[in-house]
Amino acid sequence: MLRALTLLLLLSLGCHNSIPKANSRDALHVVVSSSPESLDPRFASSAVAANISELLYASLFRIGDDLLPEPLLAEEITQINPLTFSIHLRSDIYFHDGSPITANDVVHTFTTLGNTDVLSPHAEKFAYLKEVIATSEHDVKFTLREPYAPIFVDLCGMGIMSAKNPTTGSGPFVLESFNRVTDTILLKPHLLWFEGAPPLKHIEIRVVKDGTTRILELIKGKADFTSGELSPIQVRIIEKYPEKLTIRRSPGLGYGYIAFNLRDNRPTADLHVRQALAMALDIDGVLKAKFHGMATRASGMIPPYHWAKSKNLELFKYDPRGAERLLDAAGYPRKKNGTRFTITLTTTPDRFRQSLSLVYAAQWRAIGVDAQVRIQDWGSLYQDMKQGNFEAFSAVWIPVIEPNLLTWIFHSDKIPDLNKGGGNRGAYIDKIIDEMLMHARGEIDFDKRRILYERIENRLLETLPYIPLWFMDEIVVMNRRVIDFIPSRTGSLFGLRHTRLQP
Amino acid sequence: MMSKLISVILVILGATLIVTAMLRLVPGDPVDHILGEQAPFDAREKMAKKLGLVGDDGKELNYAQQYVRFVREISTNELRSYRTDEPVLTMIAQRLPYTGMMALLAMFFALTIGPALGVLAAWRRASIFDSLFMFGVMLGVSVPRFFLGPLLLLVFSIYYPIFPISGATDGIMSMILPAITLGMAMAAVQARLVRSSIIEVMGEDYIRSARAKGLSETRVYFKHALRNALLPVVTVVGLELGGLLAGSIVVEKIFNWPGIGLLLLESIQRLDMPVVQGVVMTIAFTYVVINLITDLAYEWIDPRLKK
Repeated sequence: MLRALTLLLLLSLGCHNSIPKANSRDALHVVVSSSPESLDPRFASSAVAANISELLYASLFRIGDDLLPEPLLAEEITQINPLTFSIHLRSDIYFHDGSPITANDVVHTFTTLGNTDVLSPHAEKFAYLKEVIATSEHDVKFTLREPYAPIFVDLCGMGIMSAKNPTTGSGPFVLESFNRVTDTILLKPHLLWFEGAPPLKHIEIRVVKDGTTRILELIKGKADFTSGELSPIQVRIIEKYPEKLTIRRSPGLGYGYIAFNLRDNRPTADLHVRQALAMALDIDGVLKAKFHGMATRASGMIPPYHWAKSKNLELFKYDPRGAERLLDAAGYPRKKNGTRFTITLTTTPDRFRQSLSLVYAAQWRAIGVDAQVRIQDWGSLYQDMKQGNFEAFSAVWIPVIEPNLLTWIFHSDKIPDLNKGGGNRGAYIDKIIDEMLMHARGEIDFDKRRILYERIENRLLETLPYIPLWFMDEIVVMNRRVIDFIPSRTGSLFGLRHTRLQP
Repeated sequence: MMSKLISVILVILGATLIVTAMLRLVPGDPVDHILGEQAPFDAREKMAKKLGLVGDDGKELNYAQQYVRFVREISTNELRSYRTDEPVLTMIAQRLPYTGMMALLAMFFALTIGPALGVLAAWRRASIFDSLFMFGVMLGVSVPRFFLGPLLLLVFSIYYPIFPISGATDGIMSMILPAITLGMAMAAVQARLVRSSIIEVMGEDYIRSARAKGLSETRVYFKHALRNALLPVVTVVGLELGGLLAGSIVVEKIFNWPGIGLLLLESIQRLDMPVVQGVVMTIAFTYVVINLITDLAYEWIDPRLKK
């Protein structure tokens, strides 16, 4: 036994040495909840991978706090005609290997992306690009197949890669090491970064899957920083340590909703039924009790303060009696047992979402709708959604930054089936919406576009394929020693380039 | 011996068959997961080929073809993760020592403290110590790991910062809390088993003979009774080790321990089927080997079983 123990000790010492560790006082320790599949911007598709990749590979534009693209590596943009624009690059930008970033690298980035052998999940986004050519050392001309206004937001996510050296990055931080076994990523500042070298000596990004452990690490001080990984209840725990930790909240973009299946003659195909179900929900009560105020009510999919957000959308009033009257009139009176019809509300196994769905179902039962909650893991729920095999589900959409995402979700051409992808899972069909969505996508006049999206959102609220529920706040928790981090509404970590640590 | 080896081979063969079938039963399309549902058809087809979901002719592989492909790839270490493109066996080999070390330490903990307490309790049977012991054992068996783990962290890492909080960067110190969490239930089972086994043995004829010979009570107890009472311990170790491997998933998540349990969890969430297959195979394989070793150890302790 003694021998076994000695062996164990030796082995553990061996492990100890093999793991590179940044000096803990010099490094900012960031914890994230899941492992990035890749740091290469061509393959980073999950939120965590995109956030880290953005630190290593800078893009031409990035999303500002007004949710509009603002120039980063690009300096100036000239629209030549609806199909052509030219981008002038900054002259003081360098890759991590010290070579300057030129127009050729931009061309290389976008041409390799479209190559089907690369198999990038982002390739489809740039299918509208007909041609990208370098017109001088610092000028790139983009030609589109048809007018496509969302292109600038798409350019935001795509980090520029070097045409000569495939391993070098272009962002404010340089990758020191990525240990796949311990899921630890070490970054150091890029000294030639055009805004000035970031002040942090190291950033250590570690994956900690367990939510409770992440909180305990923050409290203990092993971790300094986490962004967007906490539920409201967990934030309440953090609030008990004000001397150690600061909490930053900003209005977030994650959109909570209930989607209905409008196929066949099910009750939810009837607009009045959907309206009644919306009126039966006390959403303000849910925000107060379950979110502790860390969310805002949603009137539609486009987040508040977004340039395309309609200002005259009316929120549903909580009115269970009115809901009952609507259902009576729609032909669903209470039967002898007190119920009107049954509905299954499906949701994913996330504990917080489960508890929310239970509340919604209880409020529906109060107006005589026999509502049951079903928990399904995302993989099988997704399969069912694609086949139209659901009644209602409650989930969270990825942030609407480019409102053209609504085309994917509400255009009648985007009803998915076994051979075709699409986000219109409830089979919502509305000719007016279809026309407006197509029109808005090709419209390059900013104000005309904005008015179109306002009308789209109004129409969606009238026809109600989704019940809009809430936008959850973006929450950042930091150790007191972290200074100068400005949280971003998109949950991006890009603000870390200005962050310092108190000595 | 021969028949045992054949059964080992059969079990492993069965495991590979089931693991290949898993690929088809799990809902969700890995291509969708990697490329997103907006991807055009030709890119999807190429990805499906790359992942080995369809053959070179673009037709979906049938079960037998998938099985052959799986066995060929895993035996040459060409089976690669969907998510990171690393060879699956390499990924597992890097993480297995972590899980192995933790399981070993948990077992060490369970096989020293557990039986020791059991011996003491049997010795002072029906005393206050014994009742306290029985209560403790019930608690140890019934407290779930997902509760015990965070509790230990809170007490011994936050309130009394003796141990590091998570990860594997602090050598053996970072292994102690996870090992206790993992081994607690096993220690409790062992303790109870040893206690009842000793009590049973103490009524046997040969104990009476030993006493009649005039041996001291301690000698009777520790030399004659204990050795015979340890047989069931060995049997249960083999069975419990499977439980330890399964339990390591929860424990590794709580303590952020970079073992195969954490790898399995991440891979399931990302529909990374080759890695899931590899890890399940590894666990099945370990289970079989441990059972084989248990059988051999059993014969060594009790030579009568050789026939």
